[in-house]
Amino acid sequence: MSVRWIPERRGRLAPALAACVALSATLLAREAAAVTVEAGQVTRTGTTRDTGHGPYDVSYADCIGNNDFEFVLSNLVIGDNLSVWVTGSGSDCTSLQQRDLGNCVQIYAESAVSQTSVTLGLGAAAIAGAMSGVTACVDSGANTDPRVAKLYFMVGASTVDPVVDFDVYTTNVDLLGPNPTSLAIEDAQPAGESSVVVDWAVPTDLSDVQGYQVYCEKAGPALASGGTGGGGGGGGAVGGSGGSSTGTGGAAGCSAPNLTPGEVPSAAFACGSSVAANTGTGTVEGLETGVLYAFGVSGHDLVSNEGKLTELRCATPQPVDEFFKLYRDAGGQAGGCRLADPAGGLTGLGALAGLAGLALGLRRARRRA
Amino acid sequence: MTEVLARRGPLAAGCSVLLGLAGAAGVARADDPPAEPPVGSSKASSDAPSGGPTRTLDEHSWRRRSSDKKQSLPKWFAPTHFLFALRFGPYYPEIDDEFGGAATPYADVFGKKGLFYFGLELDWLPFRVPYLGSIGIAAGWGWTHTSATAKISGTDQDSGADTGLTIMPMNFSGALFFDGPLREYTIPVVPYVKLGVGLGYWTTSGATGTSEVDGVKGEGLSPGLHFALGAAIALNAFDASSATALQEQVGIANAFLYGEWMRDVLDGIGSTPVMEVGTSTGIVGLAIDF
Repeated sequence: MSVRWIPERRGRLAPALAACVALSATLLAREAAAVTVEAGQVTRTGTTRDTGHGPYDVSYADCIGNNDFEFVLSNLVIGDNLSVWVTGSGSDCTSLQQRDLGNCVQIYAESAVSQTSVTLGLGAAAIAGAMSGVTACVDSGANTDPRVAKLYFMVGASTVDPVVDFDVYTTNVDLLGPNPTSLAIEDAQPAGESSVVVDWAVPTDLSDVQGYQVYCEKAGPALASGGTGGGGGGGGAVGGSGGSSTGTGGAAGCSAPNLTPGEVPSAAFACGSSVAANTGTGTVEGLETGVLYAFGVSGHDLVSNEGKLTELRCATPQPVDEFFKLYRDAGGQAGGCRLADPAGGLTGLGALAGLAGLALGLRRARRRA
Repeated sequence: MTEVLARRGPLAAGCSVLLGLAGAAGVARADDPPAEPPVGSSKASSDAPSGGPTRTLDEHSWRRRSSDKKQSLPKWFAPTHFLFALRFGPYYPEIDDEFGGAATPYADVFGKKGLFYFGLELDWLPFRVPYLGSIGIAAGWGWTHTSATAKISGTDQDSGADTGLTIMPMNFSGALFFDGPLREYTIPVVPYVKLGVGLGYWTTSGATGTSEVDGVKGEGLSPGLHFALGAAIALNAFDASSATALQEQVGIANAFLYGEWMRDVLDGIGSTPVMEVGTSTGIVGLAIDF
């Protein structure tokens, strides 16, 4: 019985065994030449920001500016289906369960690839949109740190399961500027007839701060109703009623039409160049003398995301008494880097030459001796 | 000046116990000329096999001249002829003197306290006068700076801007060091005097960089005269073992602590207009040679 039974059973298992061997052979073949995202051949389609840091990250500017990605994939098998999935939670997107749970978002699908190597374009906005809480490049989350995004490039007989082969590319999605609550403007004071110095408190955590930008605008009409400073109505004259003549204003009552605390300011109102992360002061130049301005500060992170604006402070550019001005006002005439008048200069130079001549003469005398 | 501890006379040799420098006979410095060999002798001739014709170095006059020339240059520029000094002290710019009491813009902004002055000086003393001292030249550069918060014009209220003044006093002088007593009798005090010309570069600053009034940049040069009178104490005399270790480990042959009265009259030498950034002050410093 056993003799008959064994061939019978073998006969029924033979097709399955053959299929198993064939599948194993296929998998082994793929193992030898797995689909690959070619390192060093990932490119961006735009240059919407300084790429000194995180050139392959997705910033807000990248997202809205279509600074997209191009990946070169190789070792594909013609006829295979290709799909790209993104996870921001660190899930394993090769798992059907994870994909079904929504922990991975499909951003690309192509059935039956026709080449073994392809250049695949993926939108920065699509990648960012796959992250939780991101809609139309706006991150509604509270965490301003970069978020890790894993892109799964998967091939297989189906776009869902099983996954025959895959490769993973990791990038960061960072759509929010530095945490605005850690940055506070402290003061704005006139520093000259066309300049104002703005001071702010540097945050203790600078891990995601590249620098700061001062924003300014002529103070709006709302200023007339408050403030401790000297702002006159209409954002103009120095020394408003009840204010000091310095033209400085506190946070209360200082406002500007286009600068809103707690919102990301428009770049059109940036004043001067940005300063480094550990700097807590900046000088704004080129302002109109005697005009009341509102100033705010925002930080920007390592991928140039602008943070939200601080409270505003107002100040009026007006002349200050620098030492050289007082010296000239007192009648001093020096300046301009000149060596006195010709007579004085010649006298000094003559004395210098005399000393040099004396030294040379002594040296010659010594040589002769 | 600084070869004194090595090239001692008979009296100095007796004091070598005090200095503790290599015994009573003293140690010749590396730059001391070697003893002259007897005429006609040379290493080449002494090493030559006897009996055969020998060409000595003396026959090659070109070689001797070349060798002499090489020896004479280091004698002038030997490290012991140079003295490098660090200088510190208060600095009192005489800017307000220009106005004869009618105005005091400097004091009004910066007050009357002395500024911190830091300077470097290099002295070259190639000439020796027996029993008197060393003569040479000295070139110095210094730096001092002050700043204050500028007031808003017409008020006593501070603005957001600082106003500053930086002065770099420089000088080029003849120098006479009375180091004869140190060389001859190992008296470790060296009075000195320097007289020459001075030049002060000054620059003023505000919130936006270099100050400017009516198109005139707030910077300039003020020539004048430089005078210094001081005394240096040879530190080697007080701790000979440390001095020896210092020379062996870092190559410093002699160290001097000195104090001087420095007078810079940077008034343009009779010409106007210059900002009188000179001073009259006391300076202390440390000088070394190698």
